[in-house]
Amino acid sequence: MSAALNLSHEPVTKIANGKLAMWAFLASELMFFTGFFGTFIVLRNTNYQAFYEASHHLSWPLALLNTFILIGSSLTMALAIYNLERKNNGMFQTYLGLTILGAFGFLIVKYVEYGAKWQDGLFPGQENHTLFYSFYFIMTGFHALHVIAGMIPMGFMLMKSFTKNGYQHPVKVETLGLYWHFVDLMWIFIFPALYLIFP
Amino acid sequence: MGHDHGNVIPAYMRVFFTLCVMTLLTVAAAKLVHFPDVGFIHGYVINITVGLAIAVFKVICVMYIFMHLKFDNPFLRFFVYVPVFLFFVMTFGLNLEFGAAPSNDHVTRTVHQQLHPGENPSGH
Repeated sequence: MSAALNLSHEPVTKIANGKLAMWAFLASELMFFTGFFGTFIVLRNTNYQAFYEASHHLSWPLALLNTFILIGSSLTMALAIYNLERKNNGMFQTYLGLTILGAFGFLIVKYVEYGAKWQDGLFPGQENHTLFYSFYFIMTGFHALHVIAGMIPMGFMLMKSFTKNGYQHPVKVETLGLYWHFVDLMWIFIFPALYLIFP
Repeated sequence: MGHDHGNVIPAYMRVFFTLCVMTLLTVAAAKLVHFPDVGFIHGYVINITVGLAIAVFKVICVMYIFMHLKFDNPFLRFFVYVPVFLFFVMTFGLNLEFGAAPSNDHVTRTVHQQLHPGENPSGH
């Protein structure tokens, strides 16, 4: 293949097309979440007392545990990419597996947290549901959906890595890694916004 | 693919530990410390601002090291402005008093009681 015809990278910046597209997608994702943050802030300021009481009913230790799990899985994702670029297929499998495990752990903790809310009748449509919990469920719910959406291609890549040739596309894993770090990054904002900013 | 950035594992580990420590600091700043008022700035404003400043610092760490902004084409660093902008929006939004921040809360409650006598002001 002639170098002049290689269009897998953007010609001026030499960034892989997929990565550039992922960055643009992540910027739009952040705007999607910013819509929730914006309405949350306005309604928090006008319903401070109700939001204050509801926020103090959330379990911040569980959210703290989830923060550590996500940070850890971000680290293992970065290490998985590092090892795939150096063709250490075994280490790549280990770290990608740990990342998927972290995602599972996150969802299990989330399940425990949601279960407690269900017990207290705080789900939409139940008797104790308030405006704050609408934000809580839509923001953490969309975030959890992003976690699940990231696990699907990760599982696919892990399966492929057990075939004879292993997984051969480090740029694709790097692109998925960008997405996965974004999921971590979004949680870094959601955690203080919902659990901590009610002094 | 020309992606060899040398041994980045020490940088990854440093970021990981920074993120862990910063997370604990955020919780401490929100749950244990209640900043005193400084002049006309309320203590809770400092609490909120410190919490969000730590969050945006963590986000920039993740973007620069884990997301490779430090190693990739500098063109991509443009994207750092997106979360930084979100930080400013949240800081100003959360600290503006739309008549409902803690310092004004008793006012809101009193007004509510005058409008709806005999009713629980929080209403939930």
